[in-house]
Amino acid sequence: MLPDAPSVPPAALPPEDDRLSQVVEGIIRIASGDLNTHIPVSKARDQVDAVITGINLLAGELNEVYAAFEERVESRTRELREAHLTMQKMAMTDPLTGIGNRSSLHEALTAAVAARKDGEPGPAVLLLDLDGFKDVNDSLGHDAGDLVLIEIAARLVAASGPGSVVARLGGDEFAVLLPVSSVQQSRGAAMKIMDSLKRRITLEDIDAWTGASIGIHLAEPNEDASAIMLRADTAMYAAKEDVHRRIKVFEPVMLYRRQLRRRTARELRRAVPNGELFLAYQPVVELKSGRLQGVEALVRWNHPSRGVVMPDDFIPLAEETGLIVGIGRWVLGTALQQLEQWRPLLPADGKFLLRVNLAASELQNMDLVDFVRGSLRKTGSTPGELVLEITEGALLSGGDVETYSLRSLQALGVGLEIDDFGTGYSSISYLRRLPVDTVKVDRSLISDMADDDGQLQFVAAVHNMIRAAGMDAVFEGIETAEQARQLQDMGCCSGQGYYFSKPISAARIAGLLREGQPLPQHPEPE
Amino acid sequence: MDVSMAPEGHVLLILPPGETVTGPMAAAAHDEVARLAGSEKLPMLLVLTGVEAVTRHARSVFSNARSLAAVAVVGVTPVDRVIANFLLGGAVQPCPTRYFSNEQDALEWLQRKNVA
Repeated sequence: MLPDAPSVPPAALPPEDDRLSQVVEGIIRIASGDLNTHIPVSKARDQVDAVITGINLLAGELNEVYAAFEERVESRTRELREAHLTMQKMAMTDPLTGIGNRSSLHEALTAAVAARKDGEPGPAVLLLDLDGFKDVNDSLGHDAGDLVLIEIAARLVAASGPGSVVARLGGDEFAVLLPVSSVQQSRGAAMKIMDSLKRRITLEDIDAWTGASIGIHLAEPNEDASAIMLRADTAMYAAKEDVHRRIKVFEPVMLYRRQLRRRTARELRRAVPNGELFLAYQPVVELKSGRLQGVEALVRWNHPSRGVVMPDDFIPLAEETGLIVGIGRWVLGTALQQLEQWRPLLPADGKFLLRVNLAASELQNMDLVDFVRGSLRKTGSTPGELVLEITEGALLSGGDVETYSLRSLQALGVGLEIDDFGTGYSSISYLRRLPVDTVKVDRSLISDMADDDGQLQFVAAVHNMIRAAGMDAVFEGIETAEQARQLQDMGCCSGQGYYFSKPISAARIAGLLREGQPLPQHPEPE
Repeated sequence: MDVSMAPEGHVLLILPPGETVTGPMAAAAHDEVARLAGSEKLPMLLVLTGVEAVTRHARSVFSNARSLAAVAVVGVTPVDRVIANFLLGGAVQPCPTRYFSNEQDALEWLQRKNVA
């Protein structure tokens, strides 16, 4: 770019001219790292000076580059450090509520365990599970659900007091760590928390209520964080199952119960393949005549070591684990087969109904209707002979899939019956809109009827209401002749209960059919 | 710094001998050149004979100059040549540039650039 200027060949410098040695000095300084060095330029401005000028410029350039580089490194390091801190914080924080998360709780708990002094109380963990939070999400939407969680987190922090660590473990589960706490203090804290949750939660123009189950565990000296959390969780689990006591402190027997439950679930899984289930049948009679109108099939479990296990002791577990679907299908198939075996003995007018219980989760299964249709076809039974009993609770909480299943079953010609009627929170008008034909009134409504006149009138009103809705009523849990008479006087048609007969074997039902005698019969040896 | 219009129609910029040309000094000179040029681009004769040094900041001001059609840089000694090389060696050239060790050649070159 620049043309060669006519240059003077470098002559040897005169001895007084020490510029070359100055250049060497300068170069040495630069080499040793002193980039700020400046070699002086003489007035001659000749080639030697040009070299000197060039060296000065280069040193300046290098200096600039280094400075810029160092600044960039510093700024990057700063950014990295900030990002690291942010990430650490994020790793310890629940993004929705801003309180701690499981990791932060674990860390705080481990620290509290380590800080424990001999002979002094140690940390306590309170685990909280919100009741019915799923309903809040389902009915108000997830955005509202999130707002509820944020509000609850705030209340927990306020109720737990200073020094405590509050964390959201996920979903609707929260934990509170009290670094040093006695039993009383823990219980006190739990009650404060329960109270704070009892106040309604107001979101814009929506009100929400939610309660909770709380499990408490006070750390033993030899327990680590995981062991403590497990025990608190077990206590919370026990609290959830207890309708009356929502706050529970851990007891070792809870662990055993939980293990037993898991073992039972494993065994239940094998029950159908191993043929350990069997059915008993409870007669349903016409109140007026005592005539056998049909039976309700009830499942029992012939457990290999525990003997006969009644449905209350394994059906809830089956519903929780989803095993109910397989069990329900076994029951339906077996009961229909049994119906066919009774066929020769059944009254010619075809008014014998087989009642089978259906669980809520079975209704959620899209294959249900096909299965029922197929089972009926296989045994050759008519749909009208089958009545499926569904609990009031299951019908109330059902959604679109359940409604579809019900209507399809109705279209099939199968009878549908509300079971345990009177135990839910149904409104009167909804009764008419349900796709059911009959209502089985829960035993609790008639249990005091004989002694309580008001109750008697109440039952009569319920019966009338059912009839007015265009349905038939069946009363279960009839245990005395008095109850049977009272119901009959009311105009009730059908009943079921120990007064008429306990649940009995298929063979004994066959006997009843053969004899054609009305119920109740005189007590027989079992 | 001395900025003026030569009768031939180019800008004449004489950098102060013995001094270091800083960024602010360069910016002031640039503003003056821009004022003289208006919306046009003018050729410039830049004399840096005897200048002590030119800073990087001044170099970047030069690189970003907008009012220049061509620049002829004039120096005398080898030191002037090194400094001129530094000035014109920035990342961006605002226009055609060239170094001359005598003013006469510089002016002739500028005239040719002006005509073009």
